[in-house]
Amino acid sequence: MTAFSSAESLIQEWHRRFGTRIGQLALFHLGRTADAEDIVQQVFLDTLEHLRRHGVDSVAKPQAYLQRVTRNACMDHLARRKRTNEVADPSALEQFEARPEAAAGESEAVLNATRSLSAAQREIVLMKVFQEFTLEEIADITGAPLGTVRSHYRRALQTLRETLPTDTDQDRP
Amino acid sequence: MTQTPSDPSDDARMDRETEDRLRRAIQPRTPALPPMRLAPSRPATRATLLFPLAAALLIGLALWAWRRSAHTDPAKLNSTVAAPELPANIPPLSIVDIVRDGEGFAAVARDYASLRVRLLRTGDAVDNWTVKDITATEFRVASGNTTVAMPAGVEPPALTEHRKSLAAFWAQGLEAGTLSEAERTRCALAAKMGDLMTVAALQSLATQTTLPSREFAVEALGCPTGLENLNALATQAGEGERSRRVLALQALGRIDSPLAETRLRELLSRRDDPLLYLTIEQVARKRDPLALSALQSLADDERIPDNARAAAAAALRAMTPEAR
Repeated sequence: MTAFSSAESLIQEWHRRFGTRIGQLALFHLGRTADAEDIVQQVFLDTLEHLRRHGVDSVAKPQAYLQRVTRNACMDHLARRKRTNEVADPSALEQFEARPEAAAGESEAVLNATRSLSAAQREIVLMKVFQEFTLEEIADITGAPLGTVRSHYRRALQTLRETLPTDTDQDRP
Repeated sequence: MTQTPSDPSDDARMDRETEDRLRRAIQPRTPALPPMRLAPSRPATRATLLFPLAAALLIGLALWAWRRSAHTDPAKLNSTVAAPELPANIPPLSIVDIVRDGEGFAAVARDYASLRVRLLRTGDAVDNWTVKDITATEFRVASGNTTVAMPAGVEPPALTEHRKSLAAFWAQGLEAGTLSEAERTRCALAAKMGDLMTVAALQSLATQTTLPSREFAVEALGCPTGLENLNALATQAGEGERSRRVLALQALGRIDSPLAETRLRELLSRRDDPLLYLTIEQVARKRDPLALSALQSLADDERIPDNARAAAAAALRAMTPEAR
């Protein structure tokens, strides 16, 4: 029973520490809050089962592990949606939102710029810029070669620089 | 084709500036996660831990072999797919409610012949039965020389037994993976109709991750975890919660599931809720006949806000054209 309770307390701790990022990734891919909440719950329950079966030391890098499992669960969910011809809610397609304290014009410009990125580039930007993963960790999570991740990220930043008006063009808050 | 090599330190600086600019202006959308619910009635999780992997594999193999033989052996297949039948002298109806319908009355009934909720009026036919008379308290139906009187909310004990055995039959078939496509459809229809025995059986199956039919059960129920989260959002009060509640209520209205209908019906009792009108609109959107009497009572209640009363009246007009 000790193994169970320590696995449970560990999963609670991970949920507290990493839940927000995992939720962001799920919402990024799925677009709907309810679906994202479902996936996060499922991922943590599956991870709990994994810890119970293989021991609490079986996951060396919990954050990257959770991120990878969540990403896979989202892909499965999207494939199921596609199979059932579920129509996506257009309002749920935005993956980023304006920061409340930022100037509206600047937020809008940056949001527009992110829309010009490919889906893969946006995902890497999410993990690198907002979730502070290293490019090596992102390669591990997405299963893509490190070189590909690096070049996606480089091109994403370049596209953003080219698309964004210079800082001085924008109204300051 | 030659490119001027750029200064790496310059590149790194520009990258950092772009990253900072992104962080200052935007953020990823973040769901407000509910607290972690460990093993939310997932008995399979604990159960599977009690068995070593080898035993699970053996059971799986045995199940696979049994399913295979059930699918290929016609005699076994026939014995598996024969669903329980209701005796011919029992009307396949459970009267949920009796509502005013113009000058007379209509009955909201679960029809176990067609597996849907129906609004029945005098003269309507259900299977071999004809509706003879509906009063404020009683519903009478006849077939040949047999007449059966049924009060609202009370169903014949034989029908209860039938529903019980039908739900058990579906659950066993789904668990073993032997249920025919036609019976799966009937099971999903019964859940959609709000047959609580079927809903309970599906809920139990939906939480067992090892079952091949789990996905079916979850789909038939309309994804209970998401629904309960939505329901929690739709009901929470507090400053700044209005927009989240609006979204949650609208999402409940969009989800095609008996549980969503049940949750919305429950929300109709919150008469002091400023979003009552929106709840009513979602109920109307679902055309949920089980909500008719609640809507009628709201349309007559002068203590609730005008917008809610108007929404209830509009919902009634849309759902029962004769009530205009």
